[in-house]
Amino acid sequence: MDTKSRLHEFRLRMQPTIKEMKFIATRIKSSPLSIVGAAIVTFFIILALAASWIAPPGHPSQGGNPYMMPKYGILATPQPPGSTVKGNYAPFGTTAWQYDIYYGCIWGSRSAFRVGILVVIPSLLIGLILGTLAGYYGGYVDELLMRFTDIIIAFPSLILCMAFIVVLVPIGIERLDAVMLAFVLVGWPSYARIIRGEALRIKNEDYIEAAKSIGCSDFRVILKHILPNSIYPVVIMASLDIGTIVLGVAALTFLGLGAPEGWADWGQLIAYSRNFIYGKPADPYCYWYTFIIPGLFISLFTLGWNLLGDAFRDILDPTIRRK
Amino acid sequence: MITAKDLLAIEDLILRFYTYEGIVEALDEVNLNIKEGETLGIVGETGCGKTVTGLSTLVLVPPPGKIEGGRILFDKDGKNIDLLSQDEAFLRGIRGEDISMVFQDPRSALNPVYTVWEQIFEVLLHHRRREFIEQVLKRPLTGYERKIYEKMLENQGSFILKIISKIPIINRYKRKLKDEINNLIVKILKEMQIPDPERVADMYPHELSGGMAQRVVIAIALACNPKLLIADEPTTNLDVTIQQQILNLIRELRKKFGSTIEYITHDLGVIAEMCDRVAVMYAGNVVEIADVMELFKNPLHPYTKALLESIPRPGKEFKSIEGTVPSLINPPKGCRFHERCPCSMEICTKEKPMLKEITKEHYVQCYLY
Repeated sequence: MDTKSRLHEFRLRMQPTIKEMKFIATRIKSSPLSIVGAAIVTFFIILALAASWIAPPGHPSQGGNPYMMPKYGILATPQPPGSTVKGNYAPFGTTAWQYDIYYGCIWGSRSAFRVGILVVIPSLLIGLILGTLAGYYGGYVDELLMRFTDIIIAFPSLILCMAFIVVLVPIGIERLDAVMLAFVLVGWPSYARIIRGEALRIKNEDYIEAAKSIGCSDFRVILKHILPNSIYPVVIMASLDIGTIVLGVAALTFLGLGAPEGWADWGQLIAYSRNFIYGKPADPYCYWYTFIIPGLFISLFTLGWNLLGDAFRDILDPTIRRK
Repeated sequence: MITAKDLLAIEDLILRFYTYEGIVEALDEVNLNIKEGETLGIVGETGCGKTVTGLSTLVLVPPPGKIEGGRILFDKDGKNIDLLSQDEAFLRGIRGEDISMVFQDPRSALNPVYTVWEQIFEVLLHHRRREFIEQVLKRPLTGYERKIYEKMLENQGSFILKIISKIPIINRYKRKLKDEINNLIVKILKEMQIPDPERVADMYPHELSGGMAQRVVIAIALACNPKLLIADEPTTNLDVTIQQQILNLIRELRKKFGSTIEYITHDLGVIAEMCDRVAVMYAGNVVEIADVMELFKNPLHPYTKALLESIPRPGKEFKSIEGTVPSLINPPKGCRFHERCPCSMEICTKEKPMLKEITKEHYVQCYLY
């Protein structure tokens, strides 16, 4: 076969896929909010990918780890945007103890993605597996798994996270890994709950019986018929959670339990500005940049994922897409 | 009462549901036989056990139901096999391949996330995988593809192949298989008298009209040319004109493929139009089995008589059956119909009558005869 006819065949084959892609594109275009969401998330992805060019690491205070923020001295008062501290230019200013806010914000987006994705994907997987098993088989399996999720859901999640971190750090797990593990341990039950409810509903549908009547095994029924029908709510929830978990980690870091000292993290930056939210009596908001700039990054990131969550629903669910 | 010609014989089938309120005796010693090539109608009121009879034929009783006794003999390649004593893997091979089912509500019987094409593809690939692979091997293939298909033929559940089939670009060999099946799918859809089958194949179930969806459900059921088709009220949820079209379609397909059909309905009109023989069910019992003409002309069981009289006709006073259907948790002793029966005798309240052959091929379960 020569190249030309092969290309033609390729085009012919790709036609349905291209049609589908075009449909998804028009769908996204028709709701402006999802464009905004996608734009914000893309912005952060670019920021995270290009971090080492936008904010090149290499300051001696970082100790070779690009995730540590450069520290320009030991001065306790923050410096305003655009100032030069000890020969280092700080476009967004510095925090107390002279951590560079600009560097922290840029590299903070990298750690935000890392935390968000490394927490959401494992908890989603655990929730999916246990939830479908509980919903489909019912009985003792269901009872056991769901009472266990009850125990976890009964505690306030942030408090339980702290408890896990306090237990995990002394047994030799890195601070940030312990934080992520704690969020996974606390996060999966809510996914399992939703999936179980959906599986319970769907296993009684006629098409499950129809699938069995053409000879599908239990495994196939779960994988091919129950999961694709029950996954939409949790995919949406997961995309919302990527934002929420970054908020949670920021909160923990603010309390001093999250990222280690000097780690580039938005919550960390806000933690450093704790004593400067109210500035001098004559000019109370003179240190605004220490909390407004990282705060803006956190809220934009969360907003972006929230908007994108809605767009995901439009794209993924075939029952509402072609209307 | 199994004879050489019987495709399916259900003998003394007992089915119970263990619910919180008590044990529901849904089927109490049901006896039925379906001959090869005929259409057997099962008729009765709501809740008399028609649908569970259909489901137990596939050994697919929804929990908390349990089959507690009896035999279901199915004629597979000349051998009579008791489906109830077979393991799950064997039954999966039977379902869809030898016995398949058409469900009541076509819209909910189709999985909303898959296109029509994918749903027919699933059943075909599940049962006919081997044949398709052999056909693909006859076509011109690259060396790599030939190797994979030969391996597929050798060992279908190979773990390595499962992984390979999930990797993009490398799994392109699957297209040959899809192409092979595609022609068949379009052919099947055409046989269901679906206009523009190529376009319909790419549609999702919610884009189909009710009648079209039912045609697709029938297409899935008939994709592997099953010997026995169980049609569970396939026209109940459709409007009258579509009903007629679907009935015509089923009749034509029966002529074409020679399928045996177990037609479950509560509509005596449909029975008269479609069936060769009829089994009348009441509260988990088969009370009468007869030829369709015989049954309408000469009904024997008091319930059948009452049922035939309760068909509304112009110019005639509407007569309904006295009383209500008994609860199946504590069913009446003896004959289950005796509380509503106009000719109830003392023995009816004590002992259950047996199914007796009165005239040739006309069975009835009543002490009157």
